[in-house]
Amino acid sequence: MLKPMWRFTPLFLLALACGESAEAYVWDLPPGFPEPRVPEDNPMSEAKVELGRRLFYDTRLSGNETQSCASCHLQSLAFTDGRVQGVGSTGEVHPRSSMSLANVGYAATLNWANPLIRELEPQALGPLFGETPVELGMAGREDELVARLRGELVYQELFPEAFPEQEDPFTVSRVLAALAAFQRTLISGRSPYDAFTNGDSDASSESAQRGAELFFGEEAECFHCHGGFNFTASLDHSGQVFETLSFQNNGLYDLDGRGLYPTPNFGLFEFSEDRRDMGSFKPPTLRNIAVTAPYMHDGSIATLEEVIQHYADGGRNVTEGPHVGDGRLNPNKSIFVNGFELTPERQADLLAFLESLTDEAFLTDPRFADPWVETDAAP
Amino acid sequence: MKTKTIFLSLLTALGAACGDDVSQTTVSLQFALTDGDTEIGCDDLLAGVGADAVDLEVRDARFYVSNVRLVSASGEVPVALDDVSPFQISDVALVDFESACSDAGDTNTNDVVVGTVPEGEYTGVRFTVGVPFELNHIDQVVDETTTTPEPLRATGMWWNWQGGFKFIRVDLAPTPDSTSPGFNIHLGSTACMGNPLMGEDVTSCGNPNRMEVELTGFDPASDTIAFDLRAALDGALTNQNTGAALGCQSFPMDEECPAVFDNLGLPYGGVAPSGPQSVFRVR
Ligand code: HEC
Ligand code: HEC
Repeated sequence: MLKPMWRFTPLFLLALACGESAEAYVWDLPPGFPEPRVPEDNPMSEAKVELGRRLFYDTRLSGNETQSCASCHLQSLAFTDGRVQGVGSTGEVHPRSSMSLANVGYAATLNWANPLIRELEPQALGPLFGETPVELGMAGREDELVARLRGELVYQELFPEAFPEQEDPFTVSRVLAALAAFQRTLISGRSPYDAFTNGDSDASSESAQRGAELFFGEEAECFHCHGGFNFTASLDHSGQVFETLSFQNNGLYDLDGRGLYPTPNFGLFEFSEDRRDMGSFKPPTLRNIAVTAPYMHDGSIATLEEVIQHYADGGRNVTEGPHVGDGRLNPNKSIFVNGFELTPERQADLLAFLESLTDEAFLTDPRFADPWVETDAAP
Repeated sequence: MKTKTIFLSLLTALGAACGDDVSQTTVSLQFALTDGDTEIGCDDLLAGVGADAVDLEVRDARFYVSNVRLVSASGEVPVALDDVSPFQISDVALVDFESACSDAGDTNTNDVVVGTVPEGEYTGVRFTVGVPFELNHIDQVVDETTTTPEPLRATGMWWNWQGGFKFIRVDLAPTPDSTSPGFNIHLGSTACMGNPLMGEDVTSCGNPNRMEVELTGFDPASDTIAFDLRAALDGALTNQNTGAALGCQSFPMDEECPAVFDNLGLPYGGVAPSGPQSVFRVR
């Protein structure tokens, strides 16, 4: 069996020592992709990425040792979990749906609508130590976490390798650093659509091409919020001077005729307390969107067909249940969610286009898979 | 209280030792967790609290104190906090009544805030409940190499949601036959906005939520500052949970919050408090 390419690539180019030994990390980027922005105090290295992968899949990261990050972020689902809303290690239901981690290293802000979290390192504090809701449930148990990790032979090698300059590399912030380094490698850009734009004219069906035209056209207007190489308005990479950052309201709800969204998912309003930001969320990446159902911050749309219908209707009119109200008339709704004429053919075309964003190689790449499986199987 | 007597005599000794300093003296502010006037602690019962008179048990009770001042006839003087314990640095102190009854806590507790003031006849105390802005939005790390001050390393007090710290953390669990879902009070700065385009973290918070406490008729040598949980829950809807966050966790538009914020003397949802805080008092 062919091993992944990168194992044979000389990943480390020894750089001249300046204070400490630095190894230049070589990214495996799809054509046209910039390098993700890497914080100065957390440079990439192969050892760190491998450590991060181990941690990402390690249930010792949860209080009752039942969950890891991967419990809610499954590779086969582009690192979402297929659930309407996340379920934490103690059974508590998260108010929001899990998010894809494809190309998460390029995101300008993290989570559905938190303008304050802009790096992967602090993001992981939420699932690890957050208590509203409890996800991994480690609040107040950081010493226990470090002790658990210290006891693992694999880590006794990997932590010092990943953090060579540290006398005692076992700390919570290095756990965060390694998790972030691994997540920055979760790059997806080898879908049929990419192949097509890179010159392989057979890679995309005619229907998908018509769908792309609609998507990027001024009638459906999807590209305004799901634009660029990552199909999102939330973008930050190394070649960029300013981050693009945007929170938008796409008309899912209007409970009170003044734009109210169901509690507690108020979107950006939670932070700005400006009523105009009620219901504004980050437009997520649409890469691999065909495998990340259900959709939206609260998982309230089950299929892509319904998502397309939602936009064609210019929002959602909820006529029964606890969230009755006409989201189409939400005063905070973006002017780009105006509705458009949807024929069955157009529906099929848009769907074909969205499906052409699925990157099978990403979903099965052994570099992103659970590393403990091999170890456990070893004699 | 026995421990307190010992502490006071120690202070007198310390004061004597610094005789040649321009009459500085050590002051130790004693705090107590109470149910009305009764001192309580971890796991103790609060019977019939809030507007719904439910039974709750203490699972956590911690808060940060900063900007401490003593008041005499001639005005107020700052209390210079020293770093005598892991619970305080010059800018902030953690008062911690949680003794491992919370999953997010540990056995360490702290009920004093210690500092120096010029000698004088003090009859009042003023302080802020909260972490000063400059410290509230630092990177939260727990390295042995970290520069994070020790009182700020308790992950149970982290407020990852708004990128700061919980100023007050009170967790109250229902008793086995209580109908209440439980009630937490998590106070912290909200409506915090950064300027991401400038690469800055939090630049300001629309609701700082730092409580100002002023207590008169207070003798630092003999009086205790009570943190009264019954008073904190006065009028609160303790038998329901309407927002996502249990009790009042400073989240906007949560029905369980207005009464609690009013007791803390803080505005909530654009409504000013009816008066000063009523939760801390002299005991
Ligand atoms: C209980 C399920 C659950 C677990 C466990 C979990 N997550 Fe998540 N993850 C979510 C949910 C739900 C969101 C959306 C959060 C929000 O908007 O508040 C999310 C969002 C994220 C995001 C933001 C993605 C984006 O595009 O903005 C990242 C990064 C992430 N998680 C990484 C992790 C890491 C690393 C871990 C392990 C330390 C982890 N998650 C554990 C459910 C989970
Ligand atoms: C005004 C900006 C905007 C426009 C225009 C827009 N979207 Fe969105 N999109 C968003 C936002 C914001 C969300 C998340 C909303 C939420 O969860 O509340 C979203 C969510 C989605 C999702 C679900 C993503 C997920 O991971 O759950 C899909 C699929 C999607 N949009 C497709 C489209 C398509 C197709 C179009 C064009 C017909 C389109 N969008 C136009 C802003 C926009």
